Amino acid sequence: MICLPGVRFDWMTGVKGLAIIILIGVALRLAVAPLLTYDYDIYHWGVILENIRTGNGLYGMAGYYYTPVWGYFLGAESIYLAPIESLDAFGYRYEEMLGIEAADAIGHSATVTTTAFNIAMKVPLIIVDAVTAYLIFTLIRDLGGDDRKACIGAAIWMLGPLVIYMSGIQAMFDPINGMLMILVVLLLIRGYRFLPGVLFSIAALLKFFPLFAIFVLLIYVVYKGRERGTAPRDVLLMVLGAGIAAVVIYIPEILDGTFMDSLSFMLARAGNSDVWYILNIAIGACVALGGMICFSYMMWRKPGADLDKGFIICITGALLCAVCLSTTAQYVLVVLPLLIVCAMAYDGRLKKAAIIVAVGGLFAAAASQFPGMLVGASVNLGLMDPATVVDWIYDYTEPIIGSESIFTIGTNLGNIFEYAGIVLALVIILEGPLRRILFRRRAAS
Amino acid sequence: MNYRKDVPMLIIVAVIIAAVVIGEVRVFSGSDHFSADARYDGALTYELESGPAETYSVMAFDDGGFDPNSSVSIYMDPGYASYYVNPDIATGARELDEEYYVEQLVKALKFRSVEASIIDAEAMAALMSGGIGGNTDAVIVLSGSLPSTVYGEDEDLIIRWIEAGGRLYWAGNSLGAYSSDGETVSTIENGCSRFLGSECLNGSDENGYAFSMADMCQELCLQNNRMRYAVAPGLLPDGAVHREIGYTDGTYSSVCMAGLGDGMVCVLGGEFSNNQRSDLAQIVASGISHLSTLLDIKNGTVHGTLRGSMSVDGADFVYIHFGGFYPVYGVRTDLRIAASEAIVHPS
Repeated sequence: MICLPGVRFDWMTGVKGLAIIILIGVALRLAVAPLLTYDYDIYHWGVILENIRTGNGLYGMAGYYYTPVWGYFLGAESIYLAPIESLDAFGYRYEEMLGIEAADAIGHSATVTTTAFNIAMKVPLIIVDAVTAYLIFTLIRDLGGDDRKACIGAAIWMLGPLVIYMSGIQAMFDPINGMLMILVVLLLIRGYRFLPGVLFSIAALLKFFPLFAIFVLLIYVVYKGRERGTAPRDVLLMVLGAGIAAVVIYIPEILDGTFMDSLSFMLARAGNSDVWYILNIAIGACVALGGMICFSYMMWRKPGADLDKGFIICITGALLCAVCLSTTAQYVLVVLPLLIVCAMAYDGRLKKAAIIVAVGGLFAAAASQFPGMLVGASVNLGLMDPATVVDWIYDYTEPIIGSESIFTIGTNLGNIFEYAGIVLALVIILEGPLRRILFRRRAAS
Repeated sequence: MNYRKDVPMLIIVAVIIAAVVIGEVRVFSGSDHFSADARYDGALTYELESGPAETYSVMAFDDGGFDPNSSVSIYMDPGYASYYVNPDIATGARELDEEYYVEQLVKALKFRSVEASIIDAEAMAALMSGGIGGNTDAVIVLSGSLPSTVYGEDEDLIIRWIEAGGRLYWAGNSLGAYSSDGETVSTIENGCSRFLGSECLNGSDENGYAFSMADMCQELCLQNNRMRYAVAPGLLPDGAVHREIGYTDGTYSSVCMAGLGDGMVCVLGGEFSNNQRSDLAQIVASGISHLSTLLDIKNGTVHGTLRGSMSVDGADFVYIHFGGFYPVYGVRTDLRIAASEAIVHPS
């Protein structure tokens, strides 16, 4: 039973409850998808499809700056989108929107993708969200949680504002990484070894944050294998799966010499000489690496009698630290499904952290992209005067306190809120081990 | 492992792996199928083919007596200093320097059915020397500074070549302002006047924007609206034959084509950008000139094969392009060639 004060939903439990939650979540996403679209990223998805169609692959022409996996997903999409005649034009250039390209905020284009294209880009991500909700539900049940907890976990993801925003408005692919990582964990707990290796490579080559959890994964596989006397075989299978997947994914780029282009997103940011940016990245890197070492050590020391529980907590901790590498709202989605599982299966206090992360992340994303997300609604649907949208974009980036604008203030506040949630989660996760360390020291002294 | 219980999960895994593999194969399997053919037998008829559903434009032009480009070359020579500033760097991207620009321009021209060769300073001088008696060659210059083999205080081979019919497409710095002799870059006083007849370039340090769409902007799906180095058509000499297309801020035009003798100079405004590169490829591939006139245009959607016709008299060439503002294909067909020999360029 899921309860709201004074309202009973006895029937919203179990698989039926999951289905209803997924339907509501899909409906919410489909409701916002045609209306609001952040223009910058989705414009580039169109450019990438254009480059694929002209036979220039992912890196032959400018437009794609990530590691290859997202490009391959778009390649698959280009096949089933090809016959849809309402997608004959991905977008149009509007004179009334030319002004936004001169605004200080980066990433606006007067070439606006069509409503049909926006929906087409978001539908696969909406399906990913539904699959992730199912995986959260399944994993919570696997770990001994009851149907009610499993449904609540699925609901936090499926009805969570940050997740709805990323798939329904920004059309960003971070939810895919969240799905992949929870699938990796689920497969490992159910005894698979080769397939989780394959999916881990896909996840790491989609966005690299999963790499910070690699030692936690390997140590878990070793310890679990020792219980069954199959540790070397298990590790070999997982490494083989990861290796084969990585080679298959990267062989074209190695052969055509575009391997370094696939790393340009990271390398270009490494080349930024702004002092505050460098400081930000340095601190984030320390946290990410520190988290990787700390949680790998915790995994190695076998935290608690329940190996599965220790594994899920440690991988969640490592990924929470990994996303501190850069303050961008959507990165936390790689770990949010696992954080929700931890909250529902192990420590209810983590629910607060998950919600703070989701709400803060939403605020950061929306603050950094408003009012750009209104561009499509104005020129495609006529819901707003384009001149008003252009004015809002300029006003939004006008300094109001010193050199800070609504844009920078809103984004930073949202990031602070989101990262407060991450810190809270880490404090809760590390509370037990820290208490044990302090207790041992007091006992020793 | 309980395979029966795991069926839904394994299906999800299979779908993910299939999506990655199928997508990878698609990405590296080459371009989609595009082709277009047009001929004039009393009426202008065309046949279009597209694998995916694509928006198309069929544009019929009167060429005003200006022959099409017989060859397209792009100048680039590491032995002669280039001179341009602020190459575009989109977030996470490779710097759009001259080499990368040229590399992409070749590809952008290729899917518009234009094979462009890259020539160095010596080859450019040889090409231009050979064309002094008359030519219809096109040369694209992005280096910001012309090599001393063709241009300098006392060298005007490129001017004579244009006057004899050559076509110069220029972007990325002030036209005619610089000449390179090896590593040394020299400033040429009033260099623009030698090409356009007057000093009429935007000399601002700012890469400003234009906010108005002008002639052919929507028809050719032009995207570059940056104005640095752009031409002010109002400052061209009286009697100069010229045409502006693209974007305007009321003074400067993002694309200006001006006649010089029997040839043409085409200047694109703005510092290097992907939008500028796309426009340059479109303009070169279309064959539009300062003398051409758009007679008629037909737009629509093509998926599979589509045949159509246009009631237009006196069309000399047709430019057909697919994809709109996300261009995927283009081909120019010269209708003055015998109808039975009309050029087909399947991709």
